[in-house]
Amino acid sequence: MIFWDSFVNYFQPLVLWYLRPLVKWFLRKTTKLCELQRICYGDPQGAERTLNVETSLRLSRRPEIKSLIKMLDSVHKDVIYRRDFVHYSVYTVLTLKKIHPKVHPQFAPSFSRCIEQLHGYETLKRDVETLRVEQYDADNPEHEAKLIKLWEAIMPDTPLEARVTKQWQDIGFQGDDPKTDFRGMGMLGLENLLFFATDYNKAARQVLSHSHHPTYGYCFAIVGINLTSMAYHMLNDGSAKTHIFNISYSLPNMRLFHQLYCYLFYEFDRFWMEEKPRDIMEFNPIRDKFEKSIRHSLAKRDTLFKINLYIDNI
Amino acid sequence: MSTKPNVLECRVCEDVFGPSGERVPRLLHCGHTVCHSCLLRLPLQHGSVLCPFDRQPTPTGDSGVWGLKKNFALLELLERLQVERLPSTSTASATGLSRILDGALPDRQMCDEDESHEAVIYCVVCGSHLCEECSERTHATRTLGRHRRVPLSEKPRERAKCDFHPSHVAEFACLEPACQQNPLMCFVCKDYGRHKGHQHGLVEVEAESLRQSVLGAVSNMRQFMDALGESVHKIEGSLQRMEGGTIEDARNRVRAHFQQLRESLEQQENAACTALEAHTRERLCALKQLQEDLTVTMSHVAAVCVQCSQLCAQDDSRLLLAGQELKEALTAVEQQQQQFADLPLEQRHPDSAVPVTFTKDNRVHMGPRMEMRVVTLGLDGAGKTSILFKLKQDEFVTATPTIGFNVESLELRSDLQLTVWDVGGQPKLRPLWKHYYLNTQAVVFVVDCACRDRLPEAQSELARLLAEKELKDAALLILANKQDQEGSMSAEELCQQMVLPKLCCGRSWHCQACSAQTGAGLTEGLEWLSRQLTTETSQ
Repeated sequence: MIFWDSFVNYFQPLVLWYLRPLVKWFLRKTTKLCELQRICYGDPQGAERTLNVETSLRLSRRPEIKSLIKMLDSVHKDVIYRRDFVHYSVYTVLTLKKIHPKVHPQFAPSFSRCIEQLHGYETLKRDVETLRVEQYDADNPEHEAKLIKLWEAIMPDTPLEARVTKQWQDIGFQGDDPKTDFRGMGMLGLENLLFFATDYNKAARQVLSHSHHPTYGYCFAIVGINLTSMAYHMLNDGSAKTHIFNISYSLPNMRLFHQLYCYLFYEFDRFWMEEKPRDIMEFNPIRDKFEKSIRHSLAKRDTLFKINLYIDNI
Repeated sequence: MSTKPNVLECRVCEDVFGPSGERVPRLLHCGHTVCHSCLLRLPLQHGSVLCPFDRQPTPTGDSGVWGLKKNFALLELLERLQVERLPSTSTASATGLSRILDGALPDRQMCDEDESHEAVIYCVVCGSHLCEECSERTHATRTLGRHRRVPLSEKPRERAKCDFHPSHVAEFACLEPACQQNPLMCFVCKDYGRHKGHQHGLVEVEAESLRQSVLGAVSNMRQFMDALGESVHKIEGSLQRMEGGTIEDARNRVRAHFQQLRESLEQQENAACTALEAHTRERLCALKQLQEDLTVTMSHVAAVCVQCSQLCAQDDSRLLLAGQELKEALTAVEQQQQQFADLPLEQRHPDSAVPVTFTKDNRVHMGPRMEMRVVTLGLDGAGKTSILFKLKQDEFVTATPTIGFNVESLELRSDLQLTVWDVGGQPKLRPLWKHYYLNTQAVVFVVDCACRDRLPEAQSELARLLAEKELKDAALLILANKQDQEGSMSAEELCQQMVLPKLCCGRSWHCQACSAQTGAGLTEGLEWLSRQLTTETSQ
């Protein structure tokens, strides 16, 4: 058994290397379509199609396609405009694969949509990283204003007594001054919380009231920051792609990331309450379990998370 | 003294004789003795003095009064009396305070008319002390009845006469330091005599001021005595209390402490022995089992061996007949040989040593690897999780706030494994820290050296930790984290600021500067910890 596994591990790249072109050649000859065309025509729109296009491009051995992929991967460093990149890649593929746009009118829009999504995802990664690296600065009035806005959104009935006060612990910060809690996730943590508190105000306040539960209570804000970290890692290792690409109405942008975060927070709250933990010390195992279940659903190509807002209001 | 001093007085001037000078006694021919100064005052008649008592002449010769013989018998007596008086005064001072005090009080004045009465009245004219009765009686006549009589307390003070001019009252006191031996003087002394030109004051005034100062001194002394008495009383009280119980209490406490130590040591010894027994029994059983198995194999192989050699000696047909059976037996032996070869080396050559190591809290540990439990604590944001991940994976992650805890095991040396519990530092989690104390051999307390504002908070948390009973024996490693940041405190400064030597008195502790970002100082800290956890003898 072990022998067989090592055999597969050893030979799989070789098989792919030699066999895949053969299969591709055969299909090309029989269907008269290149692989990208087959994907764009055959696979349903969304994550399935975009991810397959990406895989196909990444496995390609043509230097032109390789440079295309290299360009895509460098989006987080150099700013490459979407339109330029899409035009360049569509042009490259059309000339390389000798696809005539008049003969195949559907291919170009479908393919460029995939490329837009891929590019958008990389841009989102870059934007998120920029936010994460930006440390909370108590001397920056913009940051301070956001923090105050967070309080006002989530605790509209209680005025904040001072900038540094015990009240911050009511919404689950660790100490009297929230700024130290943003260390790992920077402004991203604050932006996420603020988005949740303003755009899903009702849900956020409901989650906050859950976090005050006498036995199953937790710390709202720092759990939020931990979930930011979870969302950030999902985005970075690419597992969030299925969800992001399946959203048809919009290209990947910051708002989608915030919405993913809100979904995670809302679902985590429910998950936590259902787990009935003994005390806050069980946070790590429960978070791992939650992450596992989320990753499991993200592994499915048709996953699209939607906040199920009114489940508790029945 | 009952010896009447006036025995040795000059009968003329009633002054006591002296051994030399003006009061030296001189003998007259008639046998009377008169002092030198009185003799000087007697008129000379035809070169001789007349005795003031019987008017017998005594010739003086050329040298006058100075030529007269001294009364040596009297001088000898005087000398002897003085010698006797000296020791008697010293005994008087030794007999006690009370007697001196009594002496200081005014004597009771007896009536001059009748010794058995106590005087209450003083007649200014007669100069006598009288009781009521005698006063009425002696002043019954008309003339005497006019005498002014006053209560004894208002008796006018006697005014001393001048020593040198007995006819004059000594009404002045000399203020010159040289004359303080005898400052009294009359106006003659003042204006013409030995105190001429000296500073002077009225006797009453000077005496009053001296009296006041003496009275002041007396009241001071009384206060001093009160204070002395009070502290003597207190000392006596505390002596009684000490003898009554406190010494005994302390002794009992010392005994109880060592008794407790002995008991806990005994318990630890028993536990260690039990652990050792269990471990060795297990090993012995396994070895015996192995031995038995091998013996069985050996006898089996021996049997096959014997069978083979017997069959070899037989004739060909029998050997061939037994061939199948023989092959099976040989296969079995081969299998056994293979099994034997598969046995791990340490089972074939078992080590007879029983490795024993001791932890600091006297738990015994058998086997090559020791496991230790360490809890990492500290305020939120001090860098506990970062330190843990730096140690575990050698990479720096800016952690998100820890909710709950992280646990990792670190292999510090080949024989020491640390299980590190990193518990979140937020105030809400701090009450839960105590769940992690149990069976903890060491506490790592992380302090953020770049954040001076929160130092008092860290100190109070540390003090609370150290007061915990469960952590009484735990080694304490204080990590002064974030040394890479600018303006952070050094380990020494941290020690001073947090008064660590006082706080951690009586336990093994160490303060190590470190940085989770660069990893500097972390291994040193852990090495110190491992030295603390294993006793010196086991290494």
